[in-house]
Amino acid sequence: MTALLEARNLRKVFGNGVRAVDGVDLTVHAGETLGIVGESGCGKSTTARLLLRLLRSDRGGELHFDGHDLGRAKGSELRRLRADLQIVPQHPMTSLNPRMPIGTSIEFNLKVHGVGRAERRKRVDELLDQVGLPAAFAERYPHELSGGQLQRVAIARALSTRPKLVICDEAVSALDKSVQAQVLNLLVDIQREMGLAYVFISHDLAVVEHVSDRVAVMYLGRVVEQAPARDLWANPLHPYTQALLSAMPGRDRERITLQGDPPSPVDIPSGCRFRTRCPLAVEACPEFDPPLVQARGFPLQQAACVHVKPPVPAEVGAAR
Amino acid sequence: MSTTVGQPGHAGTVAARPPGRESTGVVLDVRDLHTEFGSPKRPVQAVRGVSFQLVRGRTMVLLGESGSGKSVTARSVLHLYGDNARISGQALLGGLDLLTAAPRQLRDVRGSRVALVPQDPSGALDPLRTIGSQVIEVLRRHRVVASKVAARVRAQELLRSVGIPDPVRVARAYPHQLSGGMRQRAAIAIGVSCEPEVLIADEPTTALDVTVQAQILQLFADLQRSMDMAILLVTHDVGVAEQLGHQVAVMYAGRIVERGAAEDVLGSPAHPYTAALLAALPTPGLPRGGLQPIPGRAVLAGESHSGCPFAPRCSRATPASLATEPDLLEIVPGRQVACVNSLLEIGRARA
Repeated sequence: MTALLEARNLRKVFGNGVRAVDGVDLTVHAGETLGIVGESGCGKSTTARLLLRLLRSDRGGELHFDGHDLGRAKGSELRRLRADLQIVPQHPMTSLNPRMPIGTSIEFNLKVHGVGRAERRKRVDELLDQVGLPAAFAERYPHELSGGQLQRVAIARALSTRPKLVICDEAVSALDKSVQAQVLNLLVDIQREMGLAYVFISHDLAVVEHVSDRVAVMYLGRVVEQAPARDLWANPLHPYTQALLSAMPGRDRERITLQGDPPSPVDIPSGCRFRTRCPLAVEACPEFDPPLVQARGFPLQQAACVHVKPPVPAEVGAAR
Repeated sequence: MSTTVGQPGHAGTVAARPPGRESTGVVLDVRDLHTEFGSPKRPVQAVRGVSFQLVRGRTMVLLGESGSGKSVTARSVLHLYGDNARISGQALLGGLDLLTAAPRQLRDVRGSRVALVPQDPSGALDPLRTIGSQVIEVLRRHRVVASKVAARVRAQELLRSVGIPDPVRVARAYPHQLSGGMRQRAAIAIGVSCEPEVLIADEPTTALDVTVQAQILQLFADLQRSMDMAILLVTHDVGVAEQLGHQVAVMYAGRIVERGAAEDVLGSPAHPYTAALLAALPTPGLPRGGLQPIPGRAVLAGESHSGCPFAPRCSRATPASLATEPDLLEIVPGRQVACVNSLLEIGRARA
């Protein structure tokens, strides 16, 4: 599999001292879905903005997309790359212009990328059809649409440039469950049709498990575990992943209840950043900042924890 | 999964739901509640004939999607809309009908016998006053404590009892200085300060992260056990309903469409809407793209419909569904459903 997007050591410290993203490595292969889960403040959305180059990584970060250096691209090259890299945001109500008919909003994205007027009109009709909305909706304004319909419009707009990668940042979180299922099925159908890749960011674990090939778990600006979705749910290795998955509400589940709240991203604990809430913390944890390593016996899983042993040498070749 | 972790007092393996009690102690009896907003010419009927009883030591869940009327039901019971809504029906707390009580009587009851934990504690807490003073205010208003000093001591005890590790510091803090989870704990401390008979919790964990949500849900179960409260829990989250609910009432378009013991309603739903809602949820192992969405969208309050409001989205709708809106009828003891077809099926099965 070829890497479509390759991010190395992404970092973002904001002016107020918040270390939102603190050394994140991610790879997205063509046509796959990479899920990113984590709680508020873990840096998921900042990561999304870094991947889209809406924010520039601090010194040391590298970002490659489709064979180009997206991290350093400028001007027309950056615009060209962005046609292949689109976003479906969380709140279409605030990302669609309320004074613009939705057809015009979709067209606008095509106009930016230099598509002629006649072609644009035709594409809008096709796109609305593709997301299951009647062509007459092109004339409607955002306030005339329901939440589910608006999210379809946001998807149509993202698809308008025939992207290779779409970043869905909490794209279904604001929807009722019955409507959420409609939109999730639509996203899956589109992926099968067009072969595009998704980065699917959500705090909803069940949704991420459903749509993702691989999942990255973030805590305080770092990826603490990364694995194929099935392996992650079957056998979480990092204590944070274990607690997170066990915290999902439901009947008579065995729960690992974490103490307290996540620390502030302004003041990240020394060593392992999870140690202040970790039920398995040991003496070494304040000293040792564990890197994300392949886990012994689990060739497809990586975790950043002192308890996770690296593979014995013979095993290394099996890693992807 | 490892279960050896977790610390004393917060051991991970406890089932959150306390065992149900055998008492029949009904503490709140809501009968035929109707809530209407808007002008009399263009009324918006948000709640259309809801009845339920809350029992001491038990949790009843109002489960529904946005616009189903679940929050309006909870807030109508507390008579929080004042003149902004036309409310009819009864909400009997002992001998007192909360819907017709004088404002003075309501002030005496709210916070002491019936309390509310809101979804968004930052909107409910006064940003200009310390957490401690807001707890003390309730204690003093309802004369739970004899003196100012006693109130301060009791406030700190309450903050500790909701799992706040350093109550002295938190009592002196302002709401913005606390995390979302700590603010919700403070709001819960205020809610339970007078050991109310009824605690109404409106989406109390929706704004919280999942690990903090797990702590708060456990806290509700613990407080219910120690105070023997009846809880009315409003939620859209089936997992939360499963975890805390003894009884579940599913709402759709301003009415209860199905009600019964939580494990029955969520385990073997009888109403097509309940069944469809559960089928729309992603579950582990389901093939990707294999979710079963409910087509269309829900009727909004104020939109006209004829017959069963779910019929246009229902795969089992028949001409009978469109004829009249079905009443909530008992199918087996303790289990009620508002669906013509479910009733017919059960009738046939019995015949």
